[in-house]
Amino acid sequence: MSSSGRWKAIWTKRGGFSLKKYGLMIGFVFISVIISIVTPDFLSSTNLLNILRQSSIVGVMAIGTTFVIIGGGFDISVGSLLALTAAMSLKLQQIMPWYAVVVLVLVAGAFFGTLNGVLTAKLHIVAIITTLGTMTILRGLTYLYTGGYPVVGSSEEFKFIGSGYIGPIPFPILIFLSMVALWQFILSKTTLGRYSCAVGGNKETSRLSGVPVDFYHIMTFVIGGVMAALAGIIYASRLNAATPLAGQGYELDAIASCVIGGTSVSGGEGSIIGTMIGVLLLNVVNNMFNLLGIQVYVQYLIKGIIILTVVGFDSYTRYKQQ
Amino acid sequence: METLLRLRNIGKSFPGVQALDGIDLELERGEVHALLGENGAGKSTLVKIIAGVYSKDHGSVFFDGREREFGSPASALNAGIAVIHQETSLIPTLTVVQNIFLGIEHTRACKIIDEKRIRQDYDRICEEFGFRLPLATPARLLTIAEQKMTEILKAMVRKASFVIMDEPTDALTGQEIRHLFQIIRGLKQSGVTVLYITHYLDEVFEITDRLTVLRDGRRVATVQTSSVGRNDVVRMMIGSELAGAPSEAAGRPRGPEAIRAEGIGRKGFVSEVSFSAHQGEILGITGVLGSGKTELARLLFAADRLEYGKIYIGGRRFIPRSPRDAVRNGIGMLPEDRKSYGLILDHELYKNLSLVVLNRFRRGPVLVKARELEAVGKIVKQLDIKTTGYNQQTKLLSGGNQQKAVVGKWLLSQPRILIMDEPTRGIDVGSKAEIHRLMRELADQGTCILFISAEVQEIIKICDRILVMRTGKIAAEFGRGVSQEQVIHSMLQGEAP
Repeated sequence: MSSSGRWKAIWTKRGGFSLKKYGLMIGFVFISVIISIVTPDFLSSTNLLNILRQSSIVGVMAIGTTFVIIGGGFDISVGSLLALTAAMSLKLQQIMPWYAVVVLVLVAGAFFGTLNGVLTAKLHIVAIITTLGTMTILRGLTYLYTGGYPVVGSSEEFKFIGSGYIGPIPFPILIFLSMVALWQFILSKTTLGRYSCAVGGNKETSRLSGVPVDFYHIMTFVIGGVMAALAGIIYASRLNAATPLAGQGYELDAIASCVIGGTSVSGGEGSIIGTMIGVLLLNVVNNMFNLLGIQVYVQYLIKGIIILTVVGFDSYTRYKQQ
Repeated sequence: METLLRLRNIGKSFPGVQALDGIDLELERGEVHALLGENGAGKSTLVKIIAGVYSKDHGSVFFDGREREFGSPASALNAGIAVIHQETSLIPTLTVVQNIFLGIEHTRACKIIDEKRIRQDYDRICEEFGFRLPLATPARLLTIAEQKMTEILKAMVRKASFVIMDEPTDALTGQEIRHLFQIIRGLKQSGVTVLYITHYLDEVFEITDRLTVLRDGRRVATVQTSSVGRNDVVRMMIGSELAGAPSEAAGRPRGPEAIRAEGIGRKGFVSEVSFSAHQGEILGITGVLGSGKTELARLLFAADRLEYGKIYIGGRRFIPRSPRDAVRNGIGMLPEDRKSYGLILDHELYKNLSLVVLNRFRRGPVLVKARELEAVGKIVKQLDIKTTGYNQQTKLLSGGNQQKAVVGKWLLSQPRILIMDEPTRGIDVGSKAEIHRLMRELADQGTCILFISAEVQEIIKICDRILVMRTGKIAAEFGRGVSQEQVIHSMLQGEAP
């Protein structure tokens, strides 16, 4: 084995880290260093915690999206699912205790995830079209459910989910980080994770190896739905309000975070830690512009350029390899 | 006669394989020339070099009197060389006329397509060759015969003087074949040269003027078709020194029945197939491309839906619902196309090897990597898979080692019945011998092996019994000691055109 091969092997041994994702980490640190020089406020603990807290809602959602994309699917309905589940989180508390609501909302997330999964796996609708349909339906359900008005108010215990602190650390950050750890573990250490990658990597090979491909394909969507519902819970709790328009465009941020984080758009490989870095990268850049007082509109441009640069580089490298 | 294409000392090698070795060939203007040879003889490599798909290692190509070096299929087409592949290369959503004129549409000002002139050209070319197609029909609705005809017209519109047809009669009916032959005669009359690749000797004797036989990357002979008989051709393809290749099947005692099929089938692919195979037996299933042998394998493994008939495994009825059922019932299958169906090329070697039996390495829901790597390590060692480590992406392995990886993946599951579909296609001689050895070992241990291959030599060499398939049916059964000629004869009996 050559020495470079050995190094690569060592990296890939641990938690799915390859040189590619390592490069992303370097890029992330590099950008952070530049930002901290340009804007000294960046490194204050308040600001860093702020970035993490802002990242946590889309971050939790993006974990689910990573699974969906790894499994060879695509889910653009999660932003609308966040709106519905956020509204449910608050409104249901008028008739039942908060913990029951949390459970029920997560079940609802799993239900809509299953729906997406079954429609793509069994009816063979292209995933982006399936979820375009359910996205529209979910948004409609949210309007029907809320009557078009914002839902407000919740119990103190429920507010803790989005606004509480444990020591100096905001609770949503802890949820986000623990979810990253949990799902990275599931992805790289369990059969669920391995089969999801296998199905996304080559569905026919997996089928001919005796893997129940439809089941795992659907499971990735279920994970996507549950994580979107969890994001909805955090959102509702943090704002103590849910409008029917909540979560618009979050699905795109989640997808962008995944691809920036090295998840292959064609499925088969990716990592949750990569996605976390992707989410943080987008938020760090936003944060920098806020600190520098650059207007919000420019941030869209920059976000788009980052996505195209990262994905363009990756796609072109792959093309060259062939 | 004037020479259209002259090949001089063409050589081409791939890692581990000398695909072509010093090929000389001259084709005359207006002749129909058959290119024959067993699988792996170098036919398709030669065609790809002529058509600019591959670059040659050495030698020279003269076309139309000049030395040419085609860097791409497009430049070969520009020079007048058209290839009609086995699979259609038409765009399914475009109409016949749109396909024929794709890329060379007549236009008026501002790139507006001049439908009228295109239509005139189309009528003229149809008249010249004496057949018409429904011009506004999308290509996906055409029969396979009509698709071939469209491709021929496409070549003619581009003024091709040389047309290569690769297995053009595959999936055509007798009547369609007759029609195709008329068209080929028409091409000949217009001075077009046709290089005709086929498995069916009947067709060779019906339509070709001369024939060339390749074997192991060398040209064996070029002769007037009328000056030889079928037996001569078969002998040239096999090689006289190998004609009596001895069977190396061990004559091991036959175990109990492992699998039995009773009248199984799937419309259009496999019809009314019945056979049985035993533990410890290597049953060879052969036939030319499109004879239904791969489709039979896929039915047994439940990769495709069985439409009728019964399958018994170890005497018990097996109703195949999914490959998962098959795996649970002790069947394994190495699919024909290892890159698309056998491996996840982007994934690491160990993930591919453990895919079938992943559940064995679980403690609760968690994978125990140490156990997984231990099992994988044993297989890598046993099969001597050349790799930089279990983390290597499988797409970086050589063809032979990729095939070993697919074998290894099934070895781990210890199937009682192992279906191997073309396990040695496109791999180097060393790996091929190792795979043969492994098959014998498995059979000695009692595994029932269904060995599917179009290469008669290896089938004869290692099988205890041989089934020959033709047009979806079992056409003949042979025991040990059958000659290669007998088997090939049985395979090549085409449907009388």
